[in-house]
Amino acid sequence: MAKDRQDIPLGTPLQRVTPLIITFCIIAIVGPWLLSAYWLNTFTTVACLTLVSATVALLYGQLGMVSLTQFALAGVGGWVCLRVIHGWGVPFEIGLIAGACAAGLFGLLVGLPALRMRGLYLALLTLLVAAAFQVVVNVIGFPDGGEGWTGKVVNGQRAMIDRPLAASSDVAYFRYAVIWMAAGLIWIEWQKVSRLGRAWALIRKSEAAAISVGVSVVKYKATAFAVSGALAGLAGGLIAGLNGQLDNTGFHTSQSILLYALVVVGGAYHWVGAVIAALLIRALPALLNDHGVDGNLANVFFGFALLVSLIQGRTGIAGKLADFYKFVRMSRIVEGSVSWGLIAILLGVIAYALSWTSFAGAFFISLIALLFRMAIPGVLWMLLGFFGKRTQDHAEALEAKLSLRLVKIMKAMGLRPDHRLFKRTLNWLFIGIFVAWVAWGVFGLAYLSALAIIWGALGLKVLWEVSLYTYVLPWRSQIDARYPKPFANYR
Amino acid sequence: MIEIKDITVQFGGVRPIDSLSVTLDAPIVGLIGPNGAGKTTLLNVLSGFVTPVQGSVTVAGSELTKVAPHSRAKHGLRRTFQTDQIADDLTLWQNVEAIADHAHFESSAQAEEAVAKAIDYVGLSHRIHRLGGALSTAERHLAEIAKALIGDPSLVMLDEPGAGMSESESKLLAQIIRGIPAFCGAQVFLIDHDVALIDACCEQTMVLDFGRLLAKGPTSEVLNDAEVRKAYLGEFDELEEVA
Ligand SMILES: Nc1ncnc2c1ncn2[C@@H]1O[C@H](COP(=O)(O)OP(=O)(O)O)[C@@H](O)[C@H]1O
Ligand SMILES: [Mg+2]
Repeated sequence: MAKDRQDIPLGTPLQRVTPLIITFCIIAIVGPWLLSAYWLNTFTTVACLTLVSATVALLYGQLGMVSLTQFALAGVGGWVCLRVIHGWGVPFEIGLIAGACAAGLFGLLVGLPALRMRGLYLALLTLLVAAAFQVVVNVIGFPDGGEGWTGKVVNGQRAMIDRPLAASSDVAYFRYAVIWMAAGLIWIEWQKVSRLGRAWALIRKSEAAAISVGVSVVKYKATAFAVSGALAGLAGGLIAGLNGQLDNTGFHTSQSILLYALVVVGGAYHWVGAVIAALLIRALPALLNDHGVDGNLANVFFGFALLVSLIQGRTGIAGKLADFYKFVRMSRIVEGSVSWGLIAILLGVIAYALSWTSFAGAFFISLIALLFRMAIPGVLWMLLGFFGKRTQDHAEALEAKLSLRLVKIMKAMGLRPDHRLFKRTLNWLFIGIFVAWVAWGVFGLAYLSALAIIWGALGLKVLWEVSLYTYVLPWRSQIDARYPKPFANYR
Repeated sequence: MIEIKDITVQFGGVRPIDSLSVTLDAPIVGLIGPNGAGKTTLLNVLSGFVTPVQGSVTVAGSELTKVAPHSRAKHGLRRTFQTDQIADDLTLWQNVEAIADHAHFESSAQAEEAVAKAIDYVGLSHRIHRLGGALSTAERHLAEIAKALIGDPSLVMLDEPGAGMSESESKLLAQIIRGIPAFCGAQVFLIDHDVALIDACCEQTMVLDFGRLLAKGPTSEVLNDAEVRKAYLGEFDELEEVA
């Protein structure tokens, strides 16, 4: 089977970034419609942190360099952004760009001595810089309209900066942040398949080989440091704009370390990894706090997840997801989207009529359930991996055995057998319990109603598939012939 | 033409190359020697990764001893490594294109044409979209050669390109190596354990024995030299069986 696998072109840069453009457009449009005020601000921060995570992933995934300074660089960007705006009263964008430039320069300065360092030494150096930044910020604070070069108010009211005119409301600012974040991620993704990314690939394979073909390793590593510094600084400015000011406690060294760990967990080779890392670092603790659970409990989970990622190999959750998507065909995605879309609308109408939840709530549930249908097998697989390859193999064998038995029974009963029924059932149990929990937390939907909606939706989907299968089948093979496997290549 | 004058390399107490002088002027030159004889070290001297304590090297008329390693590509030097350097997550095409990026082509169209020609020359045109990690060992070695052919090289140095290849793959490899001077005008410097491959490709062969030059001359003469035969009896028996 491996022999007749098809090679698919990696695609032009434009083709590579199209999924990002579509995803972030949807998020920017639909996000505010789904989220409460509390969650909207949390997700604006998540957008900013996604950009910071992406810079950590850029250095680690593309060049194998561990940088623990990126969070501090965001702080530098934020500091300069605040200082410039308070000092000269310039528009927000000018402050943002000044912050990005300063952080880029700072990143380059950190990077220069680091060019000769690798692995642990580089990590230690960057950690020292992050710690030094924290010490300095503890002394001088973040600018808030005061006198002197630090711009710090001594005793009195802290002044805030204004958001950009076009994005003064929370909703508009969420979209504004998502657009900047998307632009950063798209730029990185674009570079990965361009000249810069190819040179990075040569360097991470072997510096000697890169040198022997005339690549200036120093130049390309320095570029990476400068660019990731600038993007982190941009994110820092965006966070400053969200709150109007920054706190000394906001850019703690421990956060830098945590961010690196979560990028490893999320996956440094795929842009989704940066999103996952940002969600874990900000949204998960917020979700826990919202339920009266101590958000620090998340750290226990992070430690566990980091261990699993290190044992499981270097691609993280995003890599696992991409591996999984490799086996998903375009037709399943089209079909899945269509059926879920219909079900979401139907459920929304029903739930709204019974005034269980808003339409948005039901829509969210279906959407998330669809996403989790794809993600949960990968995550489960990863968790099993924690107990060793043999456990994975055993689980696989057991599942195959049970499935075969089930298929036999179904055949004996004169039904059309479904090999994946067992996996699916497990999946659905899981999705129901988990997504209902999220819906309960975020939308305040009664837990049992949420569970009923999800399991009802899954049941509807089965009905839809069974009743329409004969019509869907030819359509499916038509799509498969035209678009073999959409996600065969990633990174 | 490669001129090596009185080169000595010292690693702590070890002298993998000891005042070696040799001029190599055939279009395809072979280098054989037992493991640890200093073959890779000599290649590293030529590409600048190892600085000799004394002596000088001149390739195609340019004196290279003081040239930085990353500038030697501009002088037309290309090499492959004993372990192949194909990036797993780039396609074959991108792997070769990454080299063309730094070879100073006038236009991107010209660069693309050179990439296509090099890949076609090693017979991998049907694999351009395959990821490096999915290529077979032999395909990876051939891809390495394609990378070394980009941008008008004057000297192509191959470090054991035949390692891990089957007999038929090795035959194909020999054919490809023999054609390199005609393909791009470069001199080829071939290191290999496989005496049959050296015999099939090289007009001229040098034998290195723990830093010393044991023999140098037309390949058939060198391979029949009594001293060389004594040092490599095992491998030569094999050669006679084939012949
Ligand atoms: N960087 C190095 N430092 C110390 N010793 C080295 C180094 N590189 C090679 N050597 C030693 O030099 C000798 C020649 O090695 P090498 O040139 O790799 O041999 P080969 O002919 O098998 O390619 C060996 O004894 C090896 O251990
Ligand atoms: Mg060697």
